[in-house]
Parts: sequence; C-alpha cells; structure tokens
Amino acid sequence: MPSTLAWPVEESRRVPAWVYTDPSIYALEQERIFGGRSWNYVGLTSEIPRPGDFLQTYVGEHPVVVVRDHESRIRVFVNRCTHRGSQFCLEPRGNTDVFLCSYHQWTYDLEGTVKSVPFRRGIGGKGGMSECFDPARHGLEQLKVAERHGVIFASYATDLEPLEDYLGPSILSYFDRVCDGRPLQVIGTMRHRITANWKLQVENLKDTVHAALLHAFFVKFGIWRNDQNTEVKVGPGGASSVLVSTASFQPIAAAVNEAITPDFDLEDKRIIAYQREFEHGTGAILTIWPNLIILQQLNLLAMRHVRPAGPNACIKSWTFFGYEGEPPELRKKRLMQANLLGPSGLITIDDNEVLACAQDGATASPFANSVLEAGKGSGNADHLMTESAIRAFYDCYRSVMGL
Amino acid sequence: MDRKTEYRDLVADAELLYTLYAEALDDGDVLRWPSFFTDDLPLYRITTRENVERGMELCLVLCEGQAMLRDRAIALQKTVMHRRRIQRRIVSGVRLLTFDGVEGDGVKSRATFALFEAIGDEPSRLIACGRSTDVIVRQGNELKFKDRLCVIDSRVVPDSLVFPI
Repeated sequence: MPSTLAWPVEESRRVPAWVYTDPSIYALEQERIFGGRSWNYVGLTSEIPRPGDFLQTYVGEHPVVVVRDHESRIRVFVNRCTHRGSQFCLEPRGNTDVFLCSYHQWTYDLEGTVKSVPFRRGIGGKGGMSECFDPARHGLEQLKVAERHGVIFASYATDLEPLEDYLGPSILSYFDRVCDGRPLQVIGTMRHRITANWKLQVENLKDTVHAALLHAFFVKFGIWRNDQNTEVKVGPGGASSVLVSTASFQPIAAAVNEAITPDFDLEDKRIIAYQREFEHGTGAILTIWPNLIILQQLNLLAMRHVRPAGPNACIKSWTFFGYEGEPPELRKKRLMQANLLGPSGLITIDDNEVLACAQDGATASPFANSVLEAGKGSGNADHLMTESAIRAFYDCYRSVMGL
Repeated sequence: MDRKTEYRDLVADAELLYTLYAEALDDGDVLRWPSFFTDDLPLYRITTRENVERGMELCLVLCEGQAMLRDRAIALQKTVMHRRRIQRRIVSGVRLLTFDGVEGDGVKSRATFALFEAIGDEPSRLIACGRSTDVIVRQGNELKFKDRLCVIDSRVVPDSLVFPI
C-alpha cells in the first residue's frame, strides 16, 4: 500500500475516495474482510433442500459452491479443483452425487474428498501419480458454515464467533423478525452489475438521509420519509446496522421537502398496497457485515448480496422470498411491490444512478474525502437525521483494514 | 382474400406494431408506451430466463392493466432519477405462432429483441437481449398488445433497465 493512503485525521467523519478506487485497497479487502473474520451470506437452505443439491455463489469475489451432503449437512467449498485450480462446478445450481473437474477429471464426493484421479497407476505399469501423492491431503478447501433460520453464512476464519454473537442481540432481533424460523421460499431473483464500489452500495443502505431526498417515489407516497417514526440501530463494533421506518402512507406536509414532491399520483395503488406482517416498522433495512442486506420494505423480503467485482463495480444479487404456504394474496403483493426494486425498480434505479455518479466522482478525485457530519458518533438514534450507521461501518472497516 | 394473403397481411401489421412500439420508446416518448396495449386488461412483464426456467413468478417489471402501465410511464418521467440515456431497440424474427383469433382472444406472436443504450460520452452498449412472447389483438383499426412477456437472456443486467423493452 502506498504511504500516501493515510486516513484523514477526522477519522470516520471522513471517507477518502481512494477506498472506492484503489486496487491495493481492493485486494486487501478481499484478504482481510471477505477472506478474514466475517460471516458471508451464501444462500438459503430452501434453495438446496435435498442431499446433492448445490448452488454457486461468491464469498467476496471468490467463487464457492454451497452443497448439501449425504448426511444433509451444508458444506461450502471453494470452487477450485485442488489439482490445477480450475473451477470444477460450472452450473449455477443443480443436484449431483459427485463433482467432476473437466480438466483432468479428478472427482470429489459431497464431503469434498478426492474420490478418483485418472491414471493414478499410469498405463501398463508406467507413469501415474508418485508414491508421495496422498489424495486425502487434496480435498476441496472448505469454509466454516453457520446457519440460522434457513439462512446460510460461510467464513474463511475457522475460529470465528457464532453468528449470533457476531450480530449482537439488537441486530439479531431484526434478523429473527423476518427470518423467524418459518421455511423461506424463494420467489425469484434479480441481478445487476452497477458501476460502483461494493462499499458505496452497502453504505447506501446505511445512509438515512438520502432516502427521503433522492427517492421521490417514497416521499410522495409516504413510504419512507424523515418526518415519520424512524430509528437507527448499530451492532457490535459498528459492523452491522439496521434502519427502521414506519410508513404513514400520508401525503407529505407542505413544510417537509415540498420542492421534491412530484406532481403525480398512482392510478393503481397495487404496487404499494401493503399488508402488515411485522411489528416495529413497515420497513427495516438490515446491513450485515460485510456485504449482505436483508431488506424488508412493505411486503418485499429480499436477501441482497453485494458481490465485489473489482474496485469500480459490484454485482447486486437479489433473492426475493416469502414464506412457504403463505396466502396467495400476500404472495401477489410481494410480486406487485417488486416493481419498486431491482434493475427496473422505481426506487432502485435512483440508487444505481447516483452510485455510478459517486464512483465517477471518486475516480476523478481519489484524494478527496467525503464528509459524514450528520449527527454525532456511531451509535443508535431515534431519528434518521444522522449518518451514524455509515460512520460505524467505517469504524469497523478501519479496524479490520488497519487504516 | 385467400388465407395466405391474409396471413401475410397480418404478419406485416404485426411487424408494424413492433416497429412503431420500438420507435416511440427509442424516441424517448415513454408516455405513449401504454397506447400500444389494449384498453382491456393488458399484461406487461419483464423477467429473466433464469426465473422462467426455475418456474419463479417474480418479474423485474409487472404491469397489470392500463392504469399500471400509465403509472410506470409517468413515474419514470417524474419521480425516478436517471441520467439521460439514448436507447435503440432492435426487433427481429417476428413470427405468429397462431393465426386465427386476432379479432377475439388474439394471436400469439414471438420476436427477438435487443436493447442498446448510450449514456454520456460512452458508446452504446447492450443492456438486454432476449425473446418476447406476446398476444396481439385488433382493437378498432389497430393491432395492440394484450400480453407482452419479455424474457432477458442474461443473468445479470448492466446497471439499470430504466425504460420498457
């Protein structure tokens, strides 16, 4: 790391733009954050219900395969053949008895053990693997796995604290509020690659102030607004946080941001028609260190995984879900409200666009700092007029990165 | 008119519908977009091949009825923040899967689409390509979409899919 990359003296009240652009910082993040002491979201148990079911995903930018083995245990393998490093799993999801690497056809069982190596004894007594080759030493690299209420996390750290302690009681209560043990049923996915560093995307969900300014749609229909009942809660070390808001669905008072309220009304209100499901807020946006957003907004439930794709881009992968056996009317509301989110979402488009603009700004001026002076400190608040959750994220970030 | 001529005329009319539809959107005239759909309960959806193959109902865009189409068109103009983009839609391979019923429940049609977009100083890039499966009916003197399902090939969309396909 060049010595010029020094954090500003204001600490987490400033964020230097090079954290969004510098390749050495990006590489260090992969090692210390995603490859370090973090619980990384990798999927839902309902996506791999039977032994042999697997799905491909990523821990940071590292490809991994999430598998249910023959004993129904969930395992997470690095998607890399231990022979020559090829990716052995090429399908996004499926069911298999064995993983076969196409290159030299080494096979692995669902426990990650090498099952067979072609030409191990050579041909006609000639060649083959040397006597010192011990297949038991070449099983697939496996990550530590945690599961809670149908949600799977993985970690490269073998001695990481349990997920529950990692989240802390306050964040855990919001996790359990949506993932309460009922079987989660995936209703579909959306994915898009945005031209912004992964942290800009995560911060966006910790940025309380922008929601009621940028998202004219939210403001107009009283879904997320700063004059409503709101709060911020920050977990241990600042790593994870939740923003909670209670929609009024009332037209905005003239005194609050009149200028940004568009002259527009919905003819058909079904895309925001809401049915109460949870206590404490109509929306709770939970960001779990490092890169998972558990989103509950009206009846929309989604795991939003922000996969780093180089310093200047990230891939947002949304897994929308409901509960198994839920009433069709509720399912229909989720499908209708999905018009608000994702690549064509009437809310999300705003964010994609401003984050791309923020990335452009960072690229142009990597030694400029962004200013986080709304409110003080990095703790809880009973209002959204504070950037404390972003400062908390950077308290954690600086500590993990040694910056 | 013999049946073959009748079919050719219908295909030509359908191709014109696709062309005018794409032209209006390429011209940035999203407010005209709903007018290409029937008055009576039109359905418009964008989803991905992945969702279709997995039997998942979720759509990127789901509009049921004229009012919802109009709401999206106006919201895109008035509430959604986006940079100015110049779009180009290429539609080809229009094929009618059924022939009879354009005056009634409609004929089923299929077409291939590609949507390109230019923002700022960057060259146009492909945002989405895929296939639409549509139901076309005659309303008055014009053909309209009663159902339009656009299925995107790729698993990942670059940035945003702001305007309809």
